[in-house]
Amino acid sequence: MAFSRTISSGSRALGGLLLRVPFREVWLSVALLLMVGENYPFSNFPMYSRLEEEAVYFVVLNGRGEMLPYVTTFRSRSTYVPKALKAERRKLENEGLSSDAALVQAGRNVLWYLIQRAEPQKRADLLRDGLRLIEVRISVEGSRLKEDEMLVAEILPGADEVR
Amino acid sequence: MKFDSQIVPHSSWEMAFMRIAFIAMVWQSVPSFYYPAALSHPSGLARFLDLTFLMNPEILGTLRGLLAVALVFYAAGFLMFVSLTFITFLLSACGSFENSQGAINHTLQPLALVALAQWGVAGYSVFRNRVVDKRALFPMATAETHRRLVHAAKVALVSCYVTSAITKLERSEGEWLQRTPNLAVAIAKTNTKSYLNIQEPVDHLANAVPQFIIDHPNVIRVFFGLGFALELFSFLALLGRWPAVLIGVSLILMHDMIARVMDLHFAIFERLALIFLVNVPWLAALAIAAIWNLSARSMRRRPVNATSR
Repeated sequence: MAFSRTISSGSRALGGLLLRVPFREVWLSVALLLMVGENYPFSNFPMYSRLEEEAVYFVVLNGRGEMLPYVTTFRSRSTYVPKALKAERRKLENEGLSSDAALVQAGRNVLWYLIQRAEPQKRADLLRDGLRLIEVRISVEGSRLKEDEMLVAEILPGADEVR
Repeated sequence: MKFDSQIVPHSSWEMAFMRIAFIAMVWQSVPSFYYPAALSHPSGLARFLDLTFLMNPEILGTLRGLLAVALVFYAAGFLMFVSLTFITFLLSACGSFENSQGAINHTLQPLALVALAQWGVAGYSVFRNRVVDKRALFPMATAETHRRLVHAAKVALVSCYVTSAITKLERSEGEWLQRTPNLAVAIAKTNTKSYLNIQEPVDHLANAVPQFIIDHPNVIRVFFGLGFALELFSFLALLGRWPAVLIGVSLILMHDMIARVMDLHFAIFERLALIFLVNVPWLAALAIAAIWNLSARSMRRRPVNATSR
């Protein structure tokens, strides 16, 4: 009895205190957004929050080394690949793959996904030539920008559409 | 003025404009078709509900038809809780569908958050009327309920900015401002976006910005420091009408500048700020009234001048 009275007076005091905090509805809403994190429609809005010394983007090349634009070739966008690659890699690591193997497999999965998004008449050409996913790392060296390229994954020319 | 958030006593006509502008945004944001896609990385609603039904054009068409009805009800202030339940569900479903394909984007989030916040307020309003005050259910929302809904929209919007600022501090271990010169590589990366998407050459200004940042790191710290402060203190927009106008305009300018420099567009954020914070119809009415008063005063003066001559 005494305990429940203490609890109820405690919660009333907390409620009273909360009512005296200015902009309380904002703080509650911010706390909710931070706690729930990236779960639509909630988000902690992490864009450009880390600001690391390097930035990475990805290029898809065909077998002849020509860059394939994401929108016109794959009906996708350049922002898709890094996010999908990260999510896919994490998923594969959780399934037990080593970090390096997960990256290569995730890269291949992303390339296959892009092929499936391409218009049907373009898919045969893409598979005939093969595809390569290249990671480009940008950094500052001296007082100039520098780019380093690395092959992440590859679909060899002549691969079958049905995996 | 009390240092706390205020529910601004907006007139009914101002809030009607806000509702109309809001439903236009919602209508434009729900697509009429989706390309087939695998929801390989469920986010939000997709964790609990199989959203692949959205890829069926007939179902999506029916949902858009129901959305049109819900939006008309919302604009009229009729059955707000019911219409907001549907609007919030559909916005959340479409957003979750798009964000469950492996890549997250934050363009539509504030719109769904505004609808969600308003849904919460509308639900509380129904609960209070029926259970606490034991009043009969009246389907038309009162002006007071509309004011609370507008306030909820403002809270949802500014919370996005405050959250973004806190996340920046947390993820950069409190060093976000010191690290702003690293934006050079981030912007260089973003600049490649148009080229990678459609092989469109990069804009000259956007190309010059990374080198400017490398050459003038302290100027950049001050410049982005102002943007960061604006995000962190955007909740001050809730102090009243004029603080809302000031912060709303500043946020729009900030987004406009980001769009020019980084080619990153946050149209939904800008439009929500324009609707709920800047409140253009109220400013226009104020300007018209001021011009009217000025001309009326000059009209009153003219005959006096004429007789004195």
